[in-house]
Amino acid sequence: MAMLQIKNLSKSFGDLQVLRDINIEVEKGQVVVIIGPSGSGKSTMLRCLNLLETPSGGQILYQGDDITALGKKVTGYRKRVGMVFQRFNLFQLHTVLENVMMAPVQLNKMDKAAAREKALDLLGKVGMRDKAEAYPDTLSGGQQQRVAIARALAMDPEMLLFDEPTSALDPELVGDVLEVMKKLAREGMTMIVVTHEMGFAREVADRVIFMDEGYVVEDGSPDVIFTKPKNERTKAFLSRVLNK
Amino acid sequence: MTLYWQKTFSTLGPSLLQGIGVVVYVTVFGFLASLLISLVLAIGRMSKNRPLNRILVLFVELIRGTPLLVQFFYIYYVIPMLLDAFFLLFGVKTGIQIKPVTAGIIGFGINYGCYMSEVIRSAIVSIDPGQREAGLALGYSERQVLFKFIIPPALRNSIPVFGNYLVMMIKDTSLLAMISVQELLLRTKTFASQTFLTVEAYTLLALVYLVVSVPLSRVSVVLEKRIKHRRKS
Repeated sequence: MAMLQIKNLSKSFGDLQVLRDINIEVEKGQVVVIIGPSGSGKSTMLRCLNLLETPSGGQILYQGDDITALGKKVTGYRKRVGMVFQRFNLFQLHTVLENVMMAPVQLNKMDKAAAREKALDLLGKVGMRDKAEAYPDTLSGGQQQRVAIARALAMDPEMLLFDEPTSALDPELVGDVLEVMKKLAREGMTMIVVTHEMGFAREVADRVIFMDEGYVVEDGSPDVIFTKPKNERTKAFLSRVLNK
Repeated sequence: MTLYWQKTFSTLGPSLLQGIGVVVYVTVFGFLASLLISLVLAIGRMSKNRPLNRILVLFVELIRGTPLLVQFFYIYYVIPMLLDAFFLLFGVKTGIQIKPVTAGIIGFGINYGCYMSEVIRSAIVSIDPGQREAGLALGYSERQVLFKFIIPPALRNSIPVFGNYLVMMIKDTSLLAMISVQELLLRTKTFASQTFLTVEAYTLLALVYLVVSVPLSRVSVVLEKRIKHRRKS
């Protein structure tokens, strides 16, 4: 059984229908990259996956359980699924180290010393260990995003959601963040990534999904999507973004 | 006209020093009370409970729509009478009285609490929604997010405005003369009516207020700067 099954998912904001009949399955350990033009609904889709947006219809099954029916227990599900945001969203009044060790200590009752050890390890992994005592507003965007990834990893997530993690970064800072994400992919982390980084999609993704106007237009291996897409809209989009 | 500064200083001066003690006492406790009340009101206003919301809005409008001085009179004279009448219904004679200073603290707490709750509310609204989403995504509940990631930065951002309210409260303690609190104005008034040194007395009074409030406003300006440039250095 697939780890994550999205069935007939739809979402509207008032009269505006943003997602239409989305069906996606993600296997454990897969890296799925979602591409598509702005306004295609890809971020909304990702946000539905940990219920930051409430779906209007359909089901999302995580390891067989329908998460749209969790009610208050959604916090338990969210602890198992990490999220990385476009604007990093680090906690501004807390140091880098506190940002990373806070949730395990407060939510999983992890021992403070152990959480600190682990946080420092994770910060080492993303290359931010020497900034452990710094505050977020003193860091560059790329540094903040790497801390945000460490923060998500501190909860030992089974799956990570990335919502345009490099879109708010200066071009020269994008590489460091992508490096960290590639490392995670190699280690077998299940990842769903909304991004405009076609190079990353091509190199790292097991599957690429192209979305447009709220539909999943095409879903396949990066080779197929990037070299011989079947759909006209996919072709048009790719020729626009790849021939810039 | 001959002015008797020497006499004013030596007689009214020590009395005003005692008055400052009263002013500081009322302001410190009045301000703490208003902080607490404003926080409760701000959080209550954010709840999704409609009737509670309506009641709180009404209460804030009621307080903001009437003068502070009238509220002091109401708390000092009217509330004890109402409480008396209420307990009399159960056959209990209480003879409740509220000390002028206590009435002052309660009045400040409620009045300033209402104004400051609006400050906190707008500070809460202006916190980046990403902070909430990050907390939720980690597995915190809405309530935990509110108390850990929304209210602390909102309060921090409110500090400069709170500073202004503190200075205003110090000056507003002069209203308490009307309910017989022995603060600065009442002491000056008594002195002036006994000695007819009106010019000297009220001039000294104004100076005392200046000496107390100007440094405090300076402190709040410095605090504001420090918050803005926090850890950037």
